Amino acid sequence: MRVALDGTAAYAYTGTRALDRAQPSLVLLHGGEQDHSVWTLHARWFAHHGWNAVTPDLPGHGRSAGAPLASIAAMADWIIRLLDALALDDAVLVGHSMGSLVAIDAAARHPARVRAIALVGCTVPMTLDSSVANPFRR
Amino acid sequence: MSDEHRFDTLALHAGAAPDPATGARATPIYQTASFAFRDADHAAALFNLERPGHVYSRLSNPTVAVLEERMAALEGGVGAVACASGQAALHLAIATLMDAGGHVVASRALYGGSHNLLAYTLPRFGIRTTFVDPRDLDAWRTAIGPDTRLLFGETLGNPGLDVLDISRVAGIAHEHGLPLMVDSTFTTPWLMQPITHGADLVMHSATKFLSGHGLVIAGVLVDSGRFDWQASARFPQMTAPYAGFHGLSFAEESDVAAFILRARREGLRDFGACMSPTTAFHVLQGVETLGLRMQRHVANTRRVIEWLRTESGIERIAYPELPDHPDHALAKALLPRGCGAVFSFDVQGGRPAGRRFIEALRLFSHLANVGDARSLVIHPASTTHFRMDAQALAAAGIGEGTIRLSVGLEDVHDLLEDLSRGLAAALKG
Repeated sequence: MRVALDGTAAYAYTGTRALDRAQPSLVLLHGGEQDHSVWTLHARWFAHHGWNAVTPDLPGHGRSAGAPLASIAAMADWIIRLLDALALDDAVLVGHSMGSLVAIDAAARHPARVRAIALVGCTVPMTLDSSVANPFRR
Repeated sequence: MSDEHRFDTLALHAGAAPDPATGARATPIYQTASFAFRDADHAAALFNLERPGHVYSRLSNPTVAVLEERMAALEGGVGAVACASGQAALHLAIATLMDAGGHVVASRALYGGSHNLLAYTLPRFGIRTTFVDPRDLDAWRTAIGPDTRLLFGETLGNPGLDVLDISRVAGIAHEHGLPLMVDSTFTTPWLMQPITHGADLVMHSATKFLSGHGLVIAGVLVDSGRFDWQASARFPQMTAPYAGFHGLSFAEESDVAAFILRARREGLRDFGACMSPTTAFHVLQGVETLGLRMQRHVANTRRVIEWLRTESGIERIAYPELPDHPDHALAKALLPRGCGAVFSFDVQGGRPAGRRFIEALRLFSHLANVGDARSLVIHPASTTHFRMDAQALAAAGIGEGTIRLSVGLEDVHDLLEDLSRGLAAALKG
């Protein structure tokens, strides 16, 4: 699905299901230089098992327009604004790699919007290939 | 297995690992029609693309999957579907890309089987083809219409080995929001990787050099993953919800592999022209030595041509490495490792001389195939094209004395002795 957010077009895969506000929501967060497609199978499973499975491309990634966000905090805030745009009160955040840091930061600063977090491939500190931008130090 | 490895390493390893169940180092033949589900939810998840795994060997099979991954790696694609034959691969591609009313622009220098499908059979299902001279770029461009969904040619055309200018033809296709598919059977990825030149889809008759030993009928279809189906807007098959899969959109499911996903989930499911696991195993044995074999095929071919050029009674040799071939310069750029091991030449004396030539050979097998480890020969005017008169043959680029060879892996001296015997018989008349 496409969502207008911050004046640009954001994309989120939902497992071929429309969102149902009566269901609990899951937001699946991809890692650096990746996109929603790392979560396709998981999203489809949850979407067909009683969950909203919101699987966004972060700005500047995959099908979402705009420049990449410069920090983990900015990505966490963007996720909260995405929940606003989708009229979802809260969600479980599942993050892979860089996305796991986004989940931690969002939970720490927006506890009312984050019901739980699940972290995949998470380490602190997290080092990245020097060829890609490193938002983790900011 | 990293795609960073080099060709000959990928040819041995891509898509395979020691068998997780038994440790078997060679890829086992999973000769089974179906795969047991762990429970009802596992079954439902497999059917609904929520879990990776195998359900039924018409859709996917572990042995076949190794071949598919290996071919995708060797061609530089994102995925592949193995098919019952090269014909099945061609049909699967077309049926995935278009409905009745669709249109193909194809090179007129095609394998006869492909020509039959496009010229005679697909029109019965409402799919038309315009054939063009593959060297005439304007003809490709002007043949494209609002219903066109595919441009199609062969890396080396039949029978004159016309070299397809892939980057230019791909450029024309992409200007019109269309994909280019290339039949790379004669070249194999060892001689050329069409995707690196701009092709969007690649198909093979794996019966030929890929399997390499004349054992099986097999085909492979490879998706480059580079064609933007959403941007084209000509392919609702890829971008619109598909009622046959609960409203799933293939381009939504996969940014890069929408085509190959639909080819499997619809085409293999409904048309059913899948590859058997045992066939995949045989093709894999060939692919593992592809580089070594192609080097020898090309070396033997070059030596045979060098010999033919010194013999009297030979009127014409069609091989792009020769300076008088119309695509000589293009071949040097696209095919520096060689122009394959199938070529034709004309013997003086027409149809009777051609027949005598064939019948005198003892080592070359007289049959309708190419790309075997053994050397093969055919005389089109007395076999595949025997109903045609001289004029019709000429229109097809074939002379009455045209002989086609598929040069095998034997000691080349023995091949030259055999050809020498054939030529002597041909010229005796």
